[in-house]
Amino acid sequence: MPHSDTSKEFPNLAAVILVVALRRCFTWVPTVCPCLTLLPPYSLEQGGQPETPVAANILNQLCYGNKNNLMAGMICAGWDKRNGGQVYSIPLGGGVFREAYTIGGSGSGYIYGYCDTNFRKGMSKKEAQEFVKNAVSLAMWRDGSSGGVIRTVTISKDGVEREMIEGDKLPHLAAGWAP
Amino acid sequence: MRDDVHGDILWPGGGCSGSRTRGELSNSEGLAVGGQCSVCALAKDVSSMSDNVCVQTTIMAVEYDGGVVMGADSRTSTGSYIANRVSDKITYVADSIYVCRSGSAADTQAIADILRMYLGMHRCRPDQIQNPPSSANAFKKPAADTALCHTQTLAKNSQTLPLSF
Repeated sequence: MPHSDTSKEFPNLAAVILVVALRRCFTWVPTVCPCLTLLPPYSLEQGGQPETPVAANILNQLCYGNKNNLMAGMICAGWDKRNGGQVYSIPLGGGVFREAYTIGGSGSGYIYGYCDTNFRKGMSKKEAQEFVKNAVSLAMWRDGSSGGVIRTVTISKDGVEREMIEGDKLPHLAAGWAP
Repeated sequence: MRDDVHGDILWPGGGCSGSRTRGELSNSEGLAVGGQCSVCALAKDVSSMSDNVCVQTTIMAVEYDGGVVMGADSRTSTGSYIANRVSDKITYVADSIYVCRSGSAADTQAIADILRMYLGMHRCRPDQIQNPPSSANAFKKPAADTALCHTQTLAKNSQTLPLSF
């Protein structure tokens, strides 16, 4: 019976249109490269630890693929068996840059000089930690929107160490650098 | 009122930042250097786009012989208001991979969550790909850290999880 058919269809059609309209209005589905969506579970069948470049590339695909909707500057760093320790920077619009060291955020503008002067390749773990703490504390001192405590994470083949330095024990204050 | 807090801190990229509409708008209209809000006539317009919690921050990562050191401060602000003074911007994504986050706090947390999910999938072998009942169980488990991170828990526990709906 045609009459009952249309009465059946009508609410369904309306519902579909409503749902589509609502989804158009309110949802934003993050886009990811299709190959990324399909590949990962099967690509590394060892069940081993993921590698840093892989993480950096996924991060880049997320940041670049959604660059109009995101505001995210990321630094991806880690240690894996094949590559050792690596640092990648993924700046605002996307892109992967491998660097020996990288700084980011508003406070970084204040410490480019310090970092370029004091960084050298082949530092020991302790030297690298001191370098990071000094640089971050200097940035926190000058940059009004950086502050609080310093957190550091050290990743090596021995695992992950976390450290926290309280805001009143910043290294450059202890050394008497503060104006 | 929430609308009054229009300031947003949009300098996540530091020196490397490319051009961005939202960032440019806020920087030119709403903000002075150093994160202070200059109260502007266009506050409403700007706030409609960028009234959110932001990580205007200092982050860095350095390679050394045999590993990496990452560092960050701990301030998260909304305009001139410090939303969190002890935040953790160095986020776990895999056992030996961490990310430093700068920019919108919500955006970067979501990205880190998604990345953690993908890296969790990397660790799975095909025979460990899960079936719906055990996924349902994982969501029931209060100990699973986040909804997006359940893959790793499953990979470990898939043999022992009871199947019940």
